[in-house]
Amino acid sequence: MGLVVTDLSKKYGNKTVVDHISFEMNKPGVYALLGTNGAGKTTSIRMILDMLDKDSGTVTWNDKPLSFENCNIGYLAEERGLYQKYPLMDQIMYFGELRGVPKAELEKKIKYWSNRLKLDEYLYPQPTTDSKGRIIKNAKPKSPDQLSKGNQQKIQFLIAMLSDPELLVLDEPFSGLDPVNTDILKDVVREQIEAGKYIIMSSHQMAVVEEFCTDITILSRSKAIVKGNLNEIKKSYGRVKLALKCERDVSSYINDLGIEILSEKEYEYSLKVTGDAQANELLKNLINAGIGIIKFELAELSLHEIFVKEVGADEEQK
Amino acid sequence: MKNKNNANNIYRMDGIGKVFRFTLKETFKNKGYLFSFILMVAMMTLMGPISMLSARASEKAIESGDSMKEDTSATCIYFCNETEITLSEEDLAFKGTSFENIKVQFCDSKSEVPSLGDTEIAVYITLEKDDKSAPVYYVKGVISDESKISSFNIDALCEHIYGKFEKARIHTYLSDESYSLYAQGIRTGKAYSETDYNDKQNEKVPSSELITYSTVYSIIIMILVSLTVSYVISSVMEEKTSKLVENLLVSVRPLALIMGKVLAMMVYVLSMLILGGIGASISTSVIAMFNTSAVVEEVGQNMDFSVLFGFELWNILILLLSIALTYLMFSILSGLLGSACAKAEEIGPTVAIINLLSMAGYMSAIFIPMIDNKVITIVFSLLPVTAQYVGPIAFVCDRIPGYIYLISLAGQILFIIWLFRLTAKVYRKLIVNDSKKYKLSEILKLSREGE
Repeated sequence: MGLVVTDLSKKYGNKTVVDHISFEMNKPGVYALLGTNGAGKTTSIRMILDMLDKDSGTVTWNDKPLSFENCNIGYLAEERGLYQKYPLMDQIMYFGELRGVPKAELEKKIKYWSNRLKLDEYLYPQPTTDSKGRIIKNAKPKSPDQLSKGNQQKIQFLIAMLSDPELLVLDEPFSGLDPVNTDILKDVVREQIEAGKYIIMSSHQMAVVEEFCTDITILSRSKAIVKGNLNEIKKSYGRVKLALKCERDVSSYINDLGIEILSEKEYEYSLKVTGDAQANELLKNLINAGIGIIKFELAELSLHEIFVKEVGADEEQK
Repeated sequence: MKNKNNANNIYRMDGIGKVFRFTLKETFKNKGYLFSFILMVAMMTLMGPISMLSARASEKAIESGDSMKEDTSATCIYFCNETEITLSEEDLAFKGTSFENIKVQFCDSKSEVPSLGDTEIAVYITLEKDDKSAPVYYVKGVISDESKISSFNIDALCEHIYGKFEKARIHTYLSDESYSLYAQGIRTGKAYSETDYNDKQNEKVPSSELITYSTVYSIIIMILVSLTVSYVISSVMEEKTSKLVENLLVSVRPLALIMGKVLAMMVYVLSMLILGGIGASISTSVIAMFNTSAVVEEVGQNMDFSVLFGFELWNILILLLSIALTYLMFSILSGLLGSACAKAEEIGPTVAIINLLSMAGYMSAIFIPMIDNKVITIVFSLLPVTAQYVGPIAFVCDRIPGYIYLISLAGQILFIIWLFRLTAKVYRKLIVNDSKKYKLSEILKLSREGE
């Protein structure tokens, strides 16, 4: 059940752009497709959504081939755009109707999402009034070319949400958004997770992805190099990050145990340990020496660090 | 399962109506398209009256002679007919011409004609004979040495009287029916084989009419195609240039998307031409009601596309069906090649390719009836593109047998189906690729790639 992607491959001429990628989403949540530029994320998404022919592989939704006819899909494409010549509201209605949303319901949904995404001033502009409330200038809806890129992106996101999709595919959803709008979108994504939606997200912003996703696939040079549950993956790397702050210089204690110092600033260290045992030994040595310890925090690698480590290693093999 | 599913999906047309309605509605809402529409309808409506009035103006200019002359108006014509053929004032039929208001004075002999003033003309009709030849009739115009009347005017007057005299002269010897037969002249025929001769004898439509029908028919298609091509290409490219095709493809199949857009633009152009045609027809009729000049009438006839409706109902339906099929074929082709364009500047060459194809069909429709050879007509009725232009008219004018036309029609329909299937196969590949201009050969190669 859910989304099952099996053995997805694509070649352009002799160049393999997606090489036998498989993953499953058995339960609602966020699945992250990560990778460097050109790793094959967007091509994979296009094949999943049946926009591109697959050289091999299948994509099923609840055991049936995935298509918009048997799954309510919302999609925010990496390439942002709107019809520049047509009024915004007309195009939103058009997309909604294409998704099969009844007109009366559509108008309510547009109103809701417009308000939720702070787009009212573009979709429902208010007339200019004087101090007595008299209309001195009728409001004209904005045309797409009058909107910033960020606002155009929010309009596209609104379009993706119109049909209340069960599968939401977001390709670089936060790129190009300012912090305020990023937070608005994050809130919506959280709501969708709580509502039990399946979300596929592709992004370069690891911290943001890490906030939401439960499972990941990291693509490098068209292959999946890391795949699985994020917590499990992190656990597999162990707790190797140690943040240490003491009352005096402890470099000698660190060096004695052969621990790598990643950064150092006024008795505050970022260290890379081999695991819990090495960290505990350092702690014991510091306590025995009577050194005042202000901070001792042993942590797992972040998604960003895992990504850089794995992709870097893959690039080195090239 | 994968291939079967894909094959099922690529031909699905769900949502085509929504794409069609949206495209058509936005096209008419767009100021540029609306302005083009109104302008074209207005031009077509006014084209007839303008042509007629300019023809009338030219006619008047010719009748009134050299406009450079300071004073060209004659006030009196002394008409002296010394022959045995009678020409009354009624026979001279000056009414409705620029000589209408000139006083005509009949004289029996030259001696009765007074000394001419500077606005007077004398016209002598005589039968003269010299030593070597048989007697000859002469029509001579004479003016005074100080006359203000231009020679152009006198020539026009003499030409007019010559025509009337010639008619009266022949009528002296021939009945109306015999005169009509005489006026038709004699046509020469080339050498025929016996079969050709029998075929010609049995032809319902003579060659001259075949050429007219074929020309009118092909012009209608040419106008439709040339007007539609750039609209269809621009419309199809809209998704690429606005970069929202991926958002659409999670709601509608590529074939439904392109066909919805193609049909919308076909309706846009067709409604423009139908409204323009109605406007032209009304305005031409109104002008003709107030102006009975032969030249005006001739201009009206030159622009008459309704000759095609002179056939029997079945033949009219065949022609309408053929026009619709040809229009559809060129529109699908425009959509397909339009989706292969990556940038706006690539539209021009693509339009040129399609117009070139249409022109090839038009030329065949013009020249094949001129040759009027059965074998050549059959061959061109079966070739793709020329078949659409030559086949239907050749059939309704009885130049090809019914079974040849059926083969031709089947070929046309199969060609459209092939184009339709090609579009279904390659459009989804072309539309998501926005960086490369595909050549026709590459499009065909794409269609052969496995799904």
